[in-house]
Amino acid sequence: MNKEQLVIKWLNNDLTEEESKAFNALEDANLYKEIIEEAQRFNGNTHAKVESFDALDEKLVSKSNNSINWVKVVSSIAAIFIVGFALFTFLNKDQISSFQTTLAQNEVITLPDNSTVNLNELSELQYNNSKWDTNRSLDLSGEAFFDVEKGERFDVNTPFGIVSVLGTEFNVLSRDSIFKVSCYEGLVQVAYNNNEVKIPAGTEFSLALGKGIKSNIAIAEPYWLKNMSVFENASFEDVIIELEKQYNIEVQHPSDLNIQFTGAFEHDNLKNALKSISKPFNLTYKIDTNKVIITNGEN
Amino acid sequence: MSKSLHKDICDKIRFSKLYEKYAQSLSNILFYKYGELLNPSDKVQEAFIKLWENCSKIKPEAVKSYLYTTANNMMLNEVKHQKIVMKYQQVKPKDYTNESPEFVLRKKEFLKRFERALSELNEEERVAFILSKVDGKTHKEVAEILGITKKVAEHRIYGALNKLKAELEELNRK
Repeated sequence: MNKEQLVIKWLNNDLTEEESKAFNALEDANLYKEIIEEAQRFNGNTHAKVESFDALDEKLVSKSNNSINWVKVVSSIAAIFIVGFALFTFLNKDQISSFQTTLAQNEVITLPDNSTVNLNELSELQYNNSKWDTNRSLDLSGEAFFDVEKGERFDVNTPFGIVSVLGTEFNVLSRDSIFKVSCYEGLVQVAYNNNEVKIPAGTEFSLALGKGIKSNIAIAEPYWLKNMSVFENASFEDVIIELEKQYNIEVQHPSDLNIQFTGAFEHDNLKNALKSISKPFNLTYKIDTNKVIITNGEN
Repeated sequence: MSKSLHKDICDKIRFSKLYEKYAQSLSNILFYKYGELLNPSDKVQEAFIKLWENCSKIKPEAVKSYLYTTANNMMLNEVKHQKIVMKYQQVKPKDYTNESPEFVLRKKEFLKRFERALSELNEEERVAFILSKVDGKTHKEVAEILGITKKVAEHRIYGALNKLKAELEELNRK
């Protein structure tokens, strides 16, 4: 083994005992050892000591959110925009909501406070959506059934007067020359011609020729809600008008009938309805496509 | 090369482990290469900050070389014409039993020369030599760190030793 190999082995701390002796015998052995010994003074651990991780950590804080999931970020921004836009358009419409029903159609409307209105055929209802919270007031012409949620005053404006709700369920009929309010639950107040009438549950108020009449109702809710038209001492004329409206048909009938009708007819079966009307008066009927002819006497 | 369990190193705990594992030895290498005037430990910190910023892009197995390359490049940007200065530690590593005035004087002179000789060594030899004899790496480890073969590493270490010896020999003969 030459000197170089020996020294390299020594440098790698790889000497056998025998080789160690050979190395120590070298002329430069002591100097070599001294060089290695003194070299320890140049250790980087003292000259280039790194700071602890904590010191570095402080510099990292601001960068810690580097691994952002961009898909998430973009989608959440988009979501905020969409929700914001929806809210903006929703809150921004100072809108009058209006509903109208045509012949033989009725519609259930849910008001902003969750009160529901069941709008009968040929009726119109209008209210201000954005002011509903402070002013529960709506305009009605025609007929509607109200189920009002608890809360502030609830006004129904009709051409004949204002119906204010102090309670919950009531029916308003304000059509042609008829004005009738039936209260099924709670308390309703009607103001007409500078008069105020309170109508408790189970009571009905009707206005005829400027005079108000209170009477009792026995039924739990208006029949039209159950697809029935109900009459009490109604003229046959009125019954026929109602029938024509409900079925959208034309009815021919003898004009000289002077009878009062108390009863009901259903809305979904013309034959049954006609029977209900004609049987009690001994009348007969004939159905053409869109036309019904009612005649006197049995066939 | 072993595959890492984790996809990236963007985690404070894992990152701090890396720091503990690599920071000091990296700083040492920079010091051996470039001396202490260029603040090797600062460069190491900067390299780690850069690593953190890019943590999601760097695979765990590439971290070591990334750190080394980054810190080394930072050094090179500054080193340009700077002269390498190696400083010896002022504290004595060992107590001498017979400190005659001549001995103390000789030691002082020896260290002065050593310091100069070490600074004048070419970078490759100096780094290999100190990594091996001061940081206590085996020749194989030195070869791995510097990306050279074991033979080359041995050659450099041996070359460094001989050059140091040549500088200091004369003093020893006095």
